Amino acid sequence: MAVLQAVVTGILVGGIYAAMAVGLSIIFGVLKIINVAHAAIALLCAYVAYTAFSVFGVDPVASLVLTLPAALLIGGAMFRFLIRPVLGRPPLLSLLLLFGFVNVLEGVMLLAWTADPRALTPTYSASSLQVGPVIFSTTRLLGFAASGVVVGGLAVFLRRSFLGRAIRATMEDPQAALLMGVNTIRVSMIAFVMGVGTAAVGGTVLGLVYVFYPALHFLWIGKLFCIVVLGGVGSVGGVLAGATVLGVAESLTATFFPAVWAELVAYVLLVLTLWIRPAGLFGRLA
Amino acid sequence: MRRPLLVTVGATVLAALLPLTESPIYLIHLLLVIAMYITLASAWNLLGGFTGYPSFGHGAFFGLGAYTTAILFRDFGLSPFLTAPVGGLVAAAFSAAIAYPTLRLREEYFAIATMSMGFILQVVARNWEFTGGGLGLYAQPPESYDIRTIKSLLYLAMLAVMLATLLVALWVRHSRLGFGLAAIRDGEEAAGTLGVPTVRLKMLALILSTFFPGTAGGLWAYYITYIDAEAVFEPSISINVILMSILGGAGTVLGPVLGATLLVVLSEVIELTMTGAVKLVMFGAILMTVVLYLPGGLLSWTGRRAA
Amino acid sequence: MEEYLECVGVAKRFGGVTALNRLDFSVRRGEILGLIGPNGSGKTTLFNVISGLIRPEEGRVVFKGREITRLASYAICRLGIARTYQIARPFSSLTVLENAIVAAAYGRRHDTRIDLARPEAERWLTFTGLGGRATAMPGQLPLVEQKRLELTRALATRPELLLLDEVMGGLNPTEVDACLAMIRRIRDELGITVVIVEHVMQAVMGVSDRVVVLSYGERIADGKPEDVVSDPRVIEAYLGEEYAPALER
Repeated sequence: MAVLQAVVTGILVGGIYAAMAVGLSIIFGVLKIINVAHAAIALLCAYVAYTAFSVFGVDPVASLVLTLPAALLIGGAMFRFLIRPVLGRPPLLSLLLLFGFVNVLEGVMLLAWTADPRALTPTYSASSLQVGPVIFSTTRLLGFAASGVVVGGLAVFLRRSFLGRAIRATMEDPQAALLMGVNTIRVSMIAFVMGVGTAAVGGTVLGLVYVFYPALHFLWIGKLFCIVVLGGVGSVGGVLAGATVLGVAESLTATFFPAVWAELVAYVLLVLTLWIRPAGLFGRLA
Repeated sequence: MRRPLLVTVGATVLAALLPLTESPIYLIHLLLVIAMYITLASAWNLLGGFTGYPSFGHGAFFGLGAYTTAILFRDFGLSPFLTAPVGGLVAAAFSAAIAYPTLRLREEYFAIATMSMGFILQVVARNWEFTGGGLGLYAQPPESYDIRTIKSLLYLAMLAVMLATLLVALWVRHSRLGFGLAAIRDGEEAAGTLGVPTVRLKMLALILSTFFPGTAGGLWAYYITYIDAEAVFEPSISINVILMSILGGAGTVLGPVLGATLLVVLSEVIELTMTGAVKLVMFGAILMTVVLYLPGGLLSWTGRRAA
Repeated sequence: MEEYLECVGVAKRFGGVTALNRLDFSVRRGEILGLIGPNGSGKTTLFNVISGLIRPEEGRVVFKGREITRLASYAICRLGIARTYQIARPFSSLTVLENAIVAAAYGRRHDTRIDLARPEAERWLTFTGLGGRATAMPGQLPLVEQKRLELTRALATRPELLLLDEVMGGLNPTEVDACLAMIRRIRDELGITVVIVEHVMQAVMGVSDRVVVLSYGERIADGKPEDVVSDPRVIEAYLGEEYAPALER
């Protein structure tokens, strides 16, 4: 029974992870840049939602009206000032640049909200639903649903829309896309901004489900890296698979071992995947 | 080669005279921290700057060294001057163990993998009984000595480690090994087809770059007398070490020295007058500025190909 | 009689594409061998297999009777096989001389100290005409000198067998002639066996003792330049390519 509960919780949590990871995966796939700041931006959105909730009583989901555009703006600014100058140059530059940005973000969050742990606690945050022997927490369900919308929406967008196909083309073969008239810079920008936008949803969900503090982004970015690498870069299906594997693995670990070891799972999986099969489960780019 | 060598040894000897004066203990502390970060940054630079494999988790080796000496103290009560090199060996051995699968990885994946190593070690250190768990470990000097003497001795030991690191860096830079590493950095495949034994040289660079941080960490544990996973495996140590090398000029010997000195002093100033959060913002801003506008570091400003 | 360098049944696939299709290929000692074929016929892949950058899925590479198929690229270099790259890959943060020093220090049979590698490198710079550019950075060199640097580095490893990958691409006719003369010197004065991949057709035909033609990873012709040129299979492989007029001459 404990196993069933663990697996269900793991799947729910995996869905939540997937919302954030899919943006990261698309960014990595299209721009070949690892957005180290992804989790920190999500966290920032969680903090904004926290302030909206604690000061104005705005429900966290509703505050997406504020945080989503903010995230898109941040993404746009990042692209213009940080990403554009290092596109196509050695990956080390973008990595360091984004790490610097992360430090700035973390510092800002520390200054504005201190290191005290916070949480988003609307009235439904403590409730849960029981189906048979399994308990679903409301916030996790909500998070899973929100993630489903994001991931599903992105998947449809990538497959059906013109822009989506342009993005996929740029991911697969930038030079061919260029030759076919795709403005790869513009596509890269859109992909990046969209990816960062998903961080807003991810952050809000994160804030609902977990207690958060500024240094948490480090833990979260590790999970996201794990999912992206495990699932294979640039593949939405891969992200879903990777997120589910991670969620379930963490959940099982927390059930049968002291819960603290669950933190390790993402990093261990990440390293093992890099060592054994860097392309991941579904990726083509190694 | 002769001039940088003389300057390095000379400056170290001068610095070693400090404890003999009546200067405040704080100054000894500051110089010890500077020497330590010079060690860390220069060692990182052997693998990152000289060879082109930037490790994003180099703090892990520092932490390994610190835990090694702290555990050896707990279980056997040994002196730091004996156990610090053991800390270095443990760090080097660990790096050798992960070397083969890790050094094969592409630049960005190498960065993620090394960063992950740091986290894994931190979590293990924090939760494993053997390493003291969340309570951390103590490494206390014998009560018969006074604080100033102990700190001075550790300071001299740290200077010695720093000197060793710099001498190795100077030697590598001007030796056949340095040429091989530069070739690996600039074109690993071409280097291979021109006869450079890339795997062997990368391994050598890795071991050299992890031994000294491990030893420095070993000394540090005794210096602050109490360590825990949060402190010694902190991710910012890894990032700051990269920043120091890049700020000064990666790929040179003087670069990390310059970068480390500047940033440690800046860090002390900020911590004394403002909060740690401001330091994060500032260091982040410096890192971004250097990458965007001065990727060759401060030394590239002068246009020289330094030491 | 054993061949100097022999590839037997070498196959290499990349995803769905077969780059080398159970290829048999051999080089005789002391010859200048031209290796030609349309784009994508597998010439560079073959060089990559011989020099140890990639492992074939099937087949063997044998050099002077010794199998080198799975050796690391540096070991193959030390056995006496050197190569240049189609797009020059100098060590960009080292000077021209230092580039050659790397090769002289590591590429030869025995480890060589820097103080001995330096004069050796200087000699090779002089041989290829780059003597005056020792302190220049590779990024500052014009194309023809970058190609010469590629050649210099390869020669500094004291090879017995030299694989040249499109070393004349982008050169004007005067530069091509100079390059051809250098290749002849390399074989005649230094006794180095040369395999040259080229698209500059007249150049290859003029300097080669023997020509091998690849198409879709297979050898479709092998013989004297004048015979290969009139071989109908070769003309067909190139039909539609810009080289057909050159071959018909």
